Amino acid sequence: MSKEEIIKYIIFSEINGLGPISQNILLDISDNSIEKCFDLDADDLLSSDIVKKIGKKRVSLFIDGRINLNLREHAENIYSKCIEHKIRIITREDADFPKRFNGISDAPILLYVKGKLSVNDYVSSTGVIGARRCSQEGKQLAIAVTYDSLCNNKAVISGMAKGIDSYAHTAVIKNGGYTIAVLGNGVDICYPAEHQALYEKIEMNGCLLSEYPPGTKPRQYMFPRRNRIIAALSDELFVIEVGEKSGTSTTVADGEKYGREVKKLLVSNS
Amino acid sequence: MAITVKSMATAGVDGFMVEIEASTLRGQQQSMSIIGLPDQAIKEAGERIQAAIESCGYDIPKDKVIISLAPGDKKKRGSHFDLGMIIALLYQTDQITPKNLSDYAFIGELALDGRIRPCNGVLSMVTEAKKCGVKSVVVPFENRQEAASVSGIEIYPVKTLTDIIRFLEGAIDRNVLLSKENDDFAIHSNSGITEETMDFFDVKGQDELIDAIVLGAAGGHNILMLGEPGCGKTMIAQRIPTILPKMSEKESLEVTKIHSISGLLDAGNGLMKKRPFRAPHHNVSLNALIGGGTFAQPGEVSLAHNGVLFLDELAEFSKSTLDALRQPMENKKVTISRVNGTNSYPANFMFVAAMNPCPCGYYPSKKCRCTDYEIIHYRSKISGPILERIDIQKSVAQVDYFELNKKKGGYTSAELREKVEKARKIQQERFKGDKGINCNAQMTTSMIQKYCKLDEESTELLKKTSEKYGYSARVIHKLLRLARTSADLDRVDDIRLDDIKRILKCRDLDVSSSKMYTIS
Repeated sequence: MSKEEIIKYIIFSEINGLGPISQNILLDISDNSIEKCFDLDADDLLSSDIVKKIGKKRVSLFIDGRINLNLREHAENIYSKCIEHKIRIITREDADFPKRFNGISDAPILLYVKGKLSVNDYVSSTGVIGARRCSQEGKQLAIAVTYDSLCNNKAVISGMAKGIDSYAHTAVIKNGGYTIAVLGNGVDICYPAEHQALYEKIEMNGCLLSEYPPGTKPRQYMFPRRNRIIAALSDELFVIEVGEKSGTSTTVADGEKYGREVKKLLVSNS
Repeated sequence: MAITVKSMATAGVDGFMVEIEASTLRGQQQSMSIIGLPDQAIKEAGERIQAAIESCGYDIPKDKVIISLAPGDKKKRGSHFDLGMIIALLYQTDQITPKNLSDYAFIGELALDGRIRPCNGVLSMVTEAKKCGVKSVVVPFENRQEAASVSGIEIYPVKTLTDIIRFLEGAIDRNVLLSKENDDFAIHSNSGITEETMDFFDVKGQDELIDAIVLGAAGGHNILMLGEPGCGKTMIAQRIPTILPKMSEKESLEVTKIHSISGLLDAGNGLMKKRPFRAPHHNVSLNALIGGGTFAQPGEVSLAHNGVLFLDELAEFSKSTLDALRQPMENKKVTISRVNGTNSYPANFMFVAAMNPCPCGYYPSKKCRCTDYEIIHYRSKISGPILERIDIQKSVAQVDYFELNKKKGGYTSAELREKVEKARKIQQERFKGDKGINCNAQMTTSMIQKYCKLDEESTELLKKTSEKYGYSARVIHKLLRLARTSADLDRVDDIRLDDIKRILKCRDLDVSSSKMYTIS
């Protein structure tokens, strides 16, 4: 894919007010080609039934955004930052783009990846997520579940958060296997900071992945959004030691929406 | 001809002699100048002297007065030259007629009404005066006990300028001067406060920890205590000085000197008999800990000399502050250089630290919800080189208050001290020929090979454990030193299997960290 196409993808993903659902719809009507999408005639668009699907406001946002020079400059900055930090940009059109995203309406249109994204090579994948403030029992459960998945040659997806997530990744690295950490911030930032060593090892044993461009600082609202990617990437989802009101419940809802097999594991005293 | 009067000054912990010369120049405008690299306090002495002269009924000279503090190339500070300066001036202007003036050295600050005020560093100055062959020293009344702790020199404590002048002129007897301050002079001068207010008997339910602390005290090993908030870490640390061997006269002098020049000696106390216990807050600056300031004053490490330096919440100390401890811990002294001079202070302390096992403080209880990564991160705040210097890492057991009341106290401090003293004696015997080595903690590698031989069974246990936790050769050396101390405590020649078992319990932090499920 050419640089120009990637830049266009970045511009597309960075238009304010346009979410992944609208982005996917617009790409679908252009035969999955960003060039075509950007060449769509403005008047045709405004008179087509797309307006009904995503609203007139979003359509005009797209029309203005794709020719916005500031946005282009912003996208070029992101692009050079990615080159600098050895971050790959994988778009909907790439072969490496996760096949598990097919048919998911709110899947991201591009991913920033540090490491090797080879989830398509795995027949099956397991998501392991759970409480950040987990108990020792939860920790043991996470390790056991992860170990089990590794034995069945499954890729292990998690979020590199504190607690359960970190134990899942750790178990993969200690036992050898493939793991993906889906981050809620730019992939060049290690958050939480104490996971620095883990972060480096994940890059070597799998990949760090985010829909946010490098340099994006972690914000609270981003984590539920990243959870949907975890759900989308996993065939089965283990949710460990979470309460009713946990942030992880959004992942569970997403998982069920995407038709994933969600298994809640509780510990005796939580 | 100028009059010369002796006084003393301090530089670091030591003193040096200063000769005060006073001279008047006829026919010049009335003025007073003080020369010889004085600091602000000395410069202001001129005003104090004039006021005191006036209020004691003498005349302020009408000529130009020059007071010189010799040697002229050494910086001097402090207000204690006042007394020597006024005596020199009054004698120079023929207002007084002292006898045998050259026998005396004068230390004391003047009040405007002629009273003599106490000052810092008296012990160092009197010690130096004795070395310089001065027969008698006149000191402020409040500093009498401190000065009296130096034997072989006569001390004249004075309260007012009039007293000392009358004495020097022979109008009153020495006995009058001494009898004025009643009996407490004799009592206090040599006793100090000896009884301890704290005792290990108060510590209950911490037998294993106390065992480790005795081990540390006996072999000079540094200790790190790990424990939940409120489990008694500070309480135990405060009691460590009570089980260290009693201070020798020499040690006592060193400690008192440092406290004296820092102005921390309580008025009315002679030599310090209790080992110091210093517990700086974790907010302490590097200079306050190591020493520094404009005049290169001693820091906490020197104030803890011959005693205990206790750092509570070790992980909260800034990294640079902690790392600065490395040199004094290694060399047992610190050298501080500032514009106003370079001073060396002794800093031979037992290092005792306490920290929580994790950020929330409650690991490994169920209350704790810290992740393993957080715990490792928290512990890594203490740099390797500092941890390297800590031989004993012991967790403090959590105690239940209601169980506590049922428990009997263990040993008293006196009993423990006796054990420690006996073990130390064995070590002194062992290291008689080795210069600079007093206790097992300081053993070099070759000494370890010589003194820490293990039988097969012990070697096997040590090997198995070190494989389990991945101990480096350095840690094993530490363990061997500890094992030597353990054997010394029981007064046996060879290290036994029991000793190895005992010391393997002293690496709680290593054991606990090795259980963490993390990538490092």
